Amino acid sequence: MRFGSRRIRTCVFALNIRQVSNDSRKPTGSGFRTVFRVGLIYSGFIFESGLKDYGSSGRMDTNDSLRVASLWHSMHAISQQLSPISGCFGIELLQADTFDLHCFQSLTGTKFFVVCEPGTQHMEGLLKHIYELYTDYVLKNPFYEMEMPIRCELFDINLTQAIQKDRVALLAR
Amino acid sequence: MIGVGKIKQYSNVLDKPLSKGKQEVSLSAFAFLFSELVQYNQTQVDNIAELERSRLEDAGYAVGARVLELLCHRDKGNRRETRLLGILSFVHSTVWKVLFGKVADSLEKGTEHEDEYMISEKELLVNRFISIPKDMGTFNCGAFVAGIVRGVLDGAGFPAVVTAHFVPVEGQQRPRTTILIKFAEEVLRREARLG
Amino acid sequence: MQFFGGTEISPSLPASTASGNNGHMMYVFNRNGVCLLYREWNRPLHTLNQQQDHKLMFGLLFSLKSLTAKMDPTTPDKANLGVPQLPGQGCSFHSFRTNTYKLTFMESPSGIKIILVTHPRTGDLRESLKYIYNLYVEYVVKNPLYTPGTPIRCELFNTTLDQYVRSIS
Repeated sequence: MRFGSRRIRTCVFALNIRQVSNDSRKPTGSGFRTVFRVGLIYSGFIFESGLKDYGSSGRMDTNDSLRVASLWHSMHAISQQLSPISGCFGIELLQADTFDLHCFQSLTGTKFFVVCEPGTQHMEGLLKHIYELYTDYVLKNPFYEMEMPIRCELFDINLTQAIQKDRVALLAR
Repeated sequence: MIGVGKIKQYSNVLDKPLSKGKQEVSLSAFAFLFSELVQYNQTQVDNIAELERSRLEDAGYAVGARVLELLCHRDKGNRRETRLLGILSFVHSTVWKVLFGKVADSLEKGTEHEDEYMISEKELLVNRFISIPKDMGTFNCGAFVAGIVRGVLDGAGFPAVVTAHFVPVEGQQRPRTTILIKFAEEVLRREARLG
Repeated sequence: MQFFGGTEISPSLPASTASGNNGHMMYVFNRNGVCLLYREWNRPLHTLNQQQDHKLMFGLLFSLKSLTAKMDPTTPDKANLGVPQLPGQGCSFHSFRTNTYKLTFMESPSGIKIILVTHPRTGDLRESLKYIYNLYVEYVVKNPLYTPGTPIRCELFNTTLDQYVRSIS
């Protein structure tokens, strides 16, 4: 399936860090922010990694995340078609009732996304940082085969660090 | 050549000044090139041991032999180290600094064997972006660096067996890399004679 | 830099002004996907003919809704992806933003979907959509000459709507 000139590229890895507050359902204003999931859409595969106490509520099985990823890819393409003005690059932010989804697309069409609590700020920066980690620890790794699920220890370590650091920064504010 | 007029042309490569200025290579460029080197060699071998022992190490050996030649000319006034500790500290500081921009983290003598020395790095430059898949066991891309060390030592007349190993560090997520140098018997005998 | 999916907004876009005129277009769909109303205020780019455009928009909303319901991190039991959901069932979305426009979406309990496309830098429009829904109830539902499920042709609704959308900043 093709949309425009871009190939369908779908793959997700997901990482979930639950917030530390006691009542995880209740958004606590400016206090706790949760990054629920970090994803990478790429090339027909879905990959979930570093599932830190994911919890039953957020979990998706491989088939489901595959479907979600390819659906997201098409939605991204359709949103470009429906633009009232030319030069649209697709959805950057989707605001749902219980979460915000930020999406970042690299030059080659690889999509990175973060699912977080509504109203979380500075997610563009986090996504760009994740992109940087991807180019460093995945693309420069000789044992990574292009378009395959990512299993790179260093990437996981640095990703977890980036998200924790982000959370610490938010808590400190 | 047409259109290159302004750049001074040296008819002989030996006439070129051996500038000691900062000549750094982009880390990304190196990382991609090294990644390709590993990937290419991976397609040429049957097993991981062969990739580590002969392929990567041999590639490093060639670098080591050249580095020794160059550094003896630049830093030592065309002389080379002849003593064991001298050559080890030459590898640990001079060679390391030229190749990786820093002195190696530590140089130790093996406790169990007289003929073993270890150079340790918390994070070896070649391993900076590399995650070893679980199915490859103890494979270490530091074999390339081990090859460089072997090349330097061999060229200087200190034949040795050099290998790279991951050594877990307490309280650290990532293991450090240790380059283990096991000198040949003749080297130690000569060293004993020299006193 | 347009490479990175564009957080920056392209310079050709009209600057958002306090006097309003931020609205690009508006759609109203009923629960069967029939486009009851399509208003266009400022739309330089048409990629498709109108019928296909409406179909694509409805499809986008439907898919995004089932996507958000599936991705919802707070509910444990979720229906399969693509299964139609009743209005108000499951987690839904209220807006999305691209570098060129912002789409705000509202679904009434009867399945009326109101979609407003505006300048990407407009703020939260959920209240505005509720107000538009209110206008719909007042001028369309209460109009005895209107048959439910048919395209809306109510002069009064259109003029009030135009007036209101102009005032949105």
